[in-house]
Amino acid sequence: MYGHILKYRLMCLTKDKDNMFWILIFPIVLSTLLYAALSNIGNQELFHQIPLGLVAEEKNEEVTRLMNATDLVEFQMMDQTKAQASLKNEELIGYVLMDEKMKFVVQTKGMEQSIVRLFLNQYRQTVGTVENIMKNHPEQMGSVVNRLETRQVFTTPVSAARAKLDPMLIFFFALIAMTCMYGAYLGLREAVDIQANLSDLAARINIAPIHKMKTFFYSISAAVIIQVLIISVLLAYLQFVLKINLGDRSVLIYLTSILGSVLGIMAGAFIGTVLKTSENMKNAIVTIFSLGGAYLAGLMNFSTKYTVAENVPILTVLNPVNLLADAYYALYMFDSLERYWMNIMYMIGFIILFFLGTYMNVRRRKYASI
Amino acid sequence: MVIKVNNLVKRYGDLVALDHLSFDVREGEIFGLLGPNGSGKTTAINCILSLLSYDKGEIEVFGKPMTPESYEAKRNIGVVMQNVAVFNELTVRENIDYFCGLYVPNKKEKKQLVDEAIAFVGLEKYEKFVPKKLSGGLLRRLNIACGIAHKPKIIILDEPTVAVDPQSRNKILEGIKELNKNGATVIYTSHYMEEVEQICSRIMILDHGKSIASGSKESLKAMIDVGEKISIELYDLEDEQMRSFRKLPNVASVSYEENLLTIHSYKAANNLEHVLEHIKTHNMAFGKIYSEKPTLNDVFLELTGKELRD
Repeated sequence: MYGHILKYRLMCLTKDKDNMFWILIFPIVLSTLLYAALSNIGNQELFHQIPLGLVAEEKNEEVTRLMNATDLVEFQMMDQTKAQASLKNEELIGYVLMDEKMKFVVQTKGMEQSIVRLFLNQYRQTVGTVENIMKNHPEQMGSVVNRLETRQVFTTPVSAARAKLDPMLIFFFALIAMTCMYGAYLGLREAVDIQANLSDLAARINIAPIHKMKTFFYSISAAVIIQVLIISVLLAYLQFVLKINLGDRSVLIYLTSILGSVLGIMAGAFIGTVLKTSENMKNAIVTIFSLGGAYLAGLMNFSTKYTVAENVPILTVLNPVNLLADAYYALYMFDSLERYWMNIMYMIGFIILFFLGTYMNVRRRKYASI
Repeated sequence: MVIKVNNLVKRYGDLVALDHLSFDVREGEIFGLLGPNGSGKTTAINCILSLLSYDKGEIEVFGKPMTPESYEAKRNIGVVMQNVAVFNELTVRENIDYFCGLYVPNKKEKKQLVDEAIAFVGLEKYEKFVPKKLSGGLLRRLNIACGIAHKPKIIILDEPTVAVDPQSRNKILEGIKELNKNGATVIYTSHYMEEVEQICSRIMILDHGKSIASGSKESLKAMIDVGEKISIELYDLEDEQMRSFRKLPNVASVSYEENLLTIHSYKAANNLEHVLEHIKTHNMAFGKIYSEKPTLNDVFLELTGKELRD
């Protein structure tokens, strides 16, 4: 019986043109477009230092402190005439006059100028606070120094020993994760096709002399097989056609993708069984869940991932697409697998949650209304 | 008795969909459930199939209580749903093969049954067609084939001819009679009284979830006082002339509307001869004349005060 149901579920799912477009064709087309549009980004340094002039009479303690305060900026000491000339030639984005006000001179406005201005404001504030405390409350200096040293850092650490961060990979990790989550469309279809109160087809299947849960799990296994095949095609396309280096942990990437596929399918089944709304609305929710999740994980703009992590950190855990994308990221970037396993544990937690929710609803033997 | 329903009550909130419904279906018969839309026919079927929960009552199939796990009973039941329930991605043959395979694991036996089902509904030319390429009538036939391919002992057909052209409808009705002739017990629900009259050996009339009458079509018609209905095209009939028809023997009522005179006679009375004689005597100009025996609609009208089609 398993073979019979599996065969026909595979046929039904693969011949479902709408689903196949979104799950298979759309990610391949999107990855090709992303590759064409973004392939130059990787050649640039992501966090290149900002060239900034520093006009000071001598390299005293104060100047040294400022120069050591950040890695974002490449300070170049010079006199004001040379600084103005370099600024005019666009060799510098601006220069700082080391007087009492630490005046910041720019020629144009832009992101790099804004970053430097933010840094200088923060630096002035911190220096001012420390000087004030030293002057008025010298006994509290110890605790102030401790607080400054334990200040939370939101930027992502980059392990230079393992790999150099390629921003294009953030897009592709989010894309692979999104494709896994598109398995939700298959899970939703299976949920609709097994519940007699959702479709006439399901009512007909419920009348057959087979245990309902068996039929459901046979059908879900067909969805998993298709989703795993699709994700294999996508990974092969990225690695062998677009020649994108996803790192040297291919086996773990593949296993993670399988887990992600199961997560996507169970999420769709969960949405299909738990929500009491129309099938169209459920499809819309699946789209928001997968595409919206991918956006927050950095599919459209890699800085979104960091913005979310900085401002709404809980979303990084509650967004399964981000968990999956971050697992790929951790595999690529870090020697330690601690962060990877943390993501995997969260994903398994979601799978268990979605499975239990689905099971509780699908196991119902009779319906109050059809 | 292959199906026994006793005192079945099904409520949707305040609405009573089935109100202490009891009936039984005997082996080898075509049992008709007749009633207007919303009378509870499909609800009763879904309760029998253990798809719907119910508030009270008992249902037995093949002498045993029916539950969702009554796989032995389910194996011998075939259902043709009111709405077409097939996979849009599969061809005609694949659809029938899938549903038949849920009942018959043996591949060789299954293939033979699928071949027979395709031939039975006359879809040989359309085996490789997907459902969306089929017309409404052919789609209905596919729906039937999916329900009966495994040769069940009980076949439940829930309004199988809705939105079907007359040609396909006749083919479907003939097919049902043939299935019954081959040994299947049939439960047929419809709101088309002509169909039920045509094929059912026993009929139960439902209204608001209650059984209001049951029996053979002859016994149902015998329950009412109305007999023959005569309709005559008469032009410019005056009130006095119309009243004269009322004085004829066995006439129960007379009405005149849009040049059509309708005369209802009492049960078992044959009035056509008297009426024709009356027209001739009074020299009235007339067009067409129809004479109809009472229908199940008349039965429904007399029992409920409304038309079956309402």
